[in-house]
Formats: sequence, C-alpha cells, structure tokens
Amino acid sequence: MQNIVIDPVTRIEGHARITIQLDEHGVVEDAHFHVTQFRGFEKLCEGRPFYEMPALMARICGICPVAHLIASAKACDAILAVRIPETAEKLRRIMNLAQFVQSHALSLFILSSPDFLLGMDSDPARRNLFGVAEHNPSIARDGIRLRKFGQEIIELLGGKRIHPAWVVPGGVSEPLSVERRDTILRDIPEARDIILRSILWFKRQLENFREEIRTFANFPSLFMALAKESGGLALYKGWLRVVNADGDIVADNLDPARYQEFIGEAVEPWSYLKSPYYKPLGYPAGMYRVGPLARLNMAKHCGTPLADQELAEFRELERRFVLSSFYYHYARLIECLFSVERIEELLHDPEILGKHVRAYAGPNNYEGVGVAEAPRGTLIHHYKIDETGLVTWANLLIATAHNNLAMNRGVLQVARHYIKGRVVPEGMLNRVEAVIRAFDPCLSCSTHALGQMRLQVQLLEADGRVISEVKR
Amino acid sequence: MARVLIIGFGNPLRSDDGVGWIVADQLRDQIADPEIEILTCHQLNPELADRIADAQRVVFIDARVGERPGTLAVESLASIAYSPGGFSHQLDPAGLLACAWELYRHSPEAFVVTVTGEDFGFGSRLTPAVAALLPSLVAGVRSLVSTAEPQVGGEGVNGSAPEDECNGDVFGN
Repeated sequence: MQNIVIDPVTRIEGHARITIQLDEHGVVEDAHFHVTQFRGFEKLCEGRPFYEMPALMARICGICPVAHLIASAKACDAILAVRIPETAEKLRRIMNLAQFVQSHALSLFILSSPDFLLGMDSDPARRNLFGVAEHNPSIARDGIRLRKFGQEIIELLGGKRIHPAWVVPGGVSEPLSVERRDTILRDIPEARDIILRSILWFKRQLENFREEIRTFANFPSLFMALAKESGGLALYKGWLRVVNADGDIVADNLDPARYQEFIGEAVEPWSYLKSPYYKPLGYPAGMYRVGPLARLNMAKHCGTPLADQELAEFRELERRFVLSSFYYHYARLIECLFSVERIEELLHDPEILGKHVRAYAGPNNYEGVGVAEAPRGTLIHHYKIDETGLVTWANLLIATAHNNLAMNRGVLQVARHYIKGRVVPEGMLNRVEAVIRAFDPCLSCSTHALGQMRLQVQLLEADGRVISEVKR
Repeated sequence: MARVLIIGFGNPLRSDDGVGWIVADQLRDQIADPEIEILTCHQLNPELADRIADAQRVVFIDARVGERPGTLAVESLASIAYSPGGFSHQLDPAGLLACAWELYRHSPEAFVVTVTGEDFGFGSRLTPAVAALLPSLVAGVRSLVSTAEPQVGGEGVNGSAPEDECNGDVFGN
C-alpha cells in the first residue's frame, strides 16, 4: 500500500493535510482530509461573562467574524430572554448579508478562480490572484471590488471591517445614520452589476469542467439548512430542515435550540475537526451537507427578483437536487446576488433608521443557543452560564464541521477518479485540493489554530512510507 | 483620492507588533491634511490594492522580528518584481504594490518603515526599546509624506536592510 500526502492544502482558510492510500496495485484504497490545527475557543471562554461572548467569539475568524457575532449574540439574546427590536434585527441581517458577499467573493474570486481561469493543470506558481490578474484582470478587479463592497458595509455598520463589536446581546449598539445608509445604497448598482456579469462568466466556464462536475463530491447525501415556512431562503433565522438527495423532507420544523437531539458529533483520531452527523441515521450514514448548495437545493425561492431568476436556472442543472459539490461555487454567486438585492430592500425599509436598537435585561436563562446561516453553512453557538453570568460550558458547531464527512468522501471520490498509479501529476493533486476548496472550509473557525494557510498532499506506500508529497 | 496613504499594520494585541497602529494613531492626531489618508489593519489584504493604485505615495509601518530590538529601518520599494508563492488572501507590501500594478497599472512610490520588536507575546503595550523610537518614527513618517522628494536613510537608500538600519535618523531629515 502507498500513501499520497498533500500538505499543506492551499487556498483554504487554515491548516490541513490530505492523505491518499494506495493498495499494492497502485489503486486508491482510502483518503482522508486531516485538519491539523486546533483553536480551543470552547474551552477558553469558560469563566468569562456571557455578555463578552459576541466580541470574544468574533476573534475565532478574520474572514467570517460576523457569522460568529450573529450566532453568539443570538445565544446571548436567549440567555437574556429578550425579543430584540425589529430595527436591530434588520440591521443584523444587513451585516450578515454583507458578510456573505465578502466571504463568497474571497472564496470564488481569490481562492478558486485561478483553477477556473488558468485551468486545474496550469503552473501552480501562477495559480493565484496574480495569475488571474494577468490572465483576466477584470475578473480579479471584480472580485476585489465585491469583497470590498461587503467589507465596507460591515465597517460602516460596525465601525471596523474585522471584528466589529456592534452586534451585542439584545440588538446592536448603535442605530444606522442616513449618511451611512446612503453610502451603502450608492454602491449597490455596481455590486449587482459585478455579480450579474460574474454569474454569466461562471456559467460559460461550466462546459470546461464537466469531468470535475461529475466527480467533485457528487453523490447522494442529506442536506441541512435553516428554512422558512414559506420555503424561502433563510439566512438569519428559521427552523432547521433536513432533506434527502431526492428532495424529500426527512425532518422539518426542527428547533435549532434542540440540535443535540438530532445532530451527533463524532470525533476521529486523525483530525481536530469534529464529524457531525444526523443522529437518526447514525454514524457515518447520517452524513449531510450544509452551505450554499444545501440552502439553494432546499429553498423554493430566494425572495428577490434577480436571484429567483438565477435560482430557476440553477434548478435545471440536474434532474432533481443538485448533488455535485462543484456547484457550491455557482450557488455562492446566486447567494451574493440575493444578498445585494436584500440589502437594498432592507435599506429602503423606513424602520431601518429607527433609534430603538437594543433591548436590555439581565440573564434570565442559564442556557442559550444561537443559530444562523454563515456563508459556509449552519452555525450554532451554545452557552451555559452560572448564577453570576459567567460561562461554564460552550459548544460551537461550525459550518465546516457539518461538511467534514462529505469533504472526506469527496476527496476519496476525486482521488479514485484521477489518481491511477504511483506517479501522480500535480494537476491531479490540485483537483484533490479543489474539491475541498469547493466547500470553502474555514478551519480557523471550526477547530478553535494560529498561523498561515497551508495544505499538504501525501501519497503513502502500503506500509505507510511516503512516496510522494506536495507541500505549499 | 488621497495623495498619500499611510498604512500601519500588525496585531495591536501582540505587544510590539502593534507599533504600526500606535504610530498611525499618533499621526492621525497630528495630520489634518485631507490628501493624507491613514489606515490601520491587521493584514494587507488584496482589497487595499485599489487604494494603493489611487495614491501617489504610500508608507507602510510594521514591526519585524530581528536580533537588535529597537532597530529602525526604512526601505524604498522601488521595484514591483514580486513572486507570490503560496499566496492566499494576505500580502506583504511588495505584494500589494505588485497587485496594484497588475490590476490597475499604477504602483505608487512606496516606503516600508519597520522597527525590530522585542516582545510579540500577548499585550497591548510596546516594550521600552520600541516605545523610545516613537517620536522619531512619527517625525520620520511625517517627513516621508511631506517631502516632495523624500530622502531615505543614510547609506542604504533604496537598498534592503540592514544597510539602512540604525537606531537613529534613517529618514534623512
């Protein structure tokens, strides 16, 4: 048996390694996606006052701090037992949507577009933003502009683009001014135009990636996301819904606060990333996917005109549910479109300038669960406190972890399809990495480690000897 | 469009790594020129490229790891030759300049001012060796942004460290 090791996996958020085991005949036998970093936020928040949690938890990630702010603040709302003011909820929604735009733009344009524009087999030294800029500078400029659009909204609302402390237990700390609203509105048309031409560009690329579409984590699985009664796309609040690969509802109206009743969290010795599963089907049969693909598969409609048009076309990609994880990228663009349209709607709501943006209370519950859709999928923060308001226990169920089982199976599927024998071309290994990038994992978020973004692929002999290794 | 952009970057909760933020904050208190924009950030991300491309001159302020804490260095980034390597979503000053050039075909005159730190552990205070340099750092950056043709360093103008490193006047003022 041989092992292929990809270490580090590149163009993802965090540290990871992929090992691919070959049998005596050089055929792929097994593959694993190892997350090799550890953060430990669940433990280090113990003993801190619960009202510090949103600001503290935002430190989990520099890419998606807003997701943690929102889920954490919602858990604290539950501890306060308050209903936050309508205006505050709408303002939180705008910040969450802006985060979707900037995070999805980073994933698609900066981390993954080199594969689309330059090709999976292109020179790895050029497979980055500089290669994209050389090949097609307008795509690179659009990506940067779109990310900046989202970041600036977060900064305008929260005072800074990374780790804003504006989302607080009970609402938000400050209302929106007319000037800031108008500044955001001014940039909406440009952002919308960028997304529309990016969707058009991406759809034209699909024909060049038929093999990747067929093999990138393309299998039946459950899907889970927040859902509205109306069937619309739910990003801020809703019930949890689980559907199967045929689109049949497996479980509906699940109370997110009772997630432990239907989500189990398995731990494997080869990864710091937990492997959640749908409890009724057991481990690992209860594998499910979350994030843009799951949300769009599940949504009957987005709720905004242009995004709904694109969703209708997305539905035509496959006969029933869209199962190929390659389409996560496509789904990200549609969610960007929805986000920009929805931000515009919310900013035109007369209530958005309301001054009542925070509800005050002391702790009325000893436990609180906060759930929201983060760019990468469903995010759950769960805290328990003592009578003095200090956190005694915390559990974080992060979007990337929900997808762990599917990412591992996706790596195996791609490895089996592309790796034939002991000599593995770099482009084949890049495809193994690319299937992971399709999920846009955020490992800093999901394992609670410090350092640079790295990825490693290893090819191991039957006896465990490393015979091939790619490190970046 | 700001004529001059000053970017202090690093982690302000990592002791001396926050020197760029502290210098930037002091400059904000002293400079009222609308043509000088002062930014602080943890990392240099690609979305800064368009602001870089809009500026005529950029000054980056950062801490660095080295053997002689409290050593000040000024480097002129004249070249935009850059090898991105395993770039993901953060850049160094040279990378950001190269990014601005690749995307917008403008790369301004740029300087990198660095101070060798002593302590990069958790904390929001500078060590005495770095704190002692603040007045000359602030004055030096001011000279870089106010002079039509800034004079940098003594011996090592446009060169890389350590030629233009010292504990005193490396700004040529």
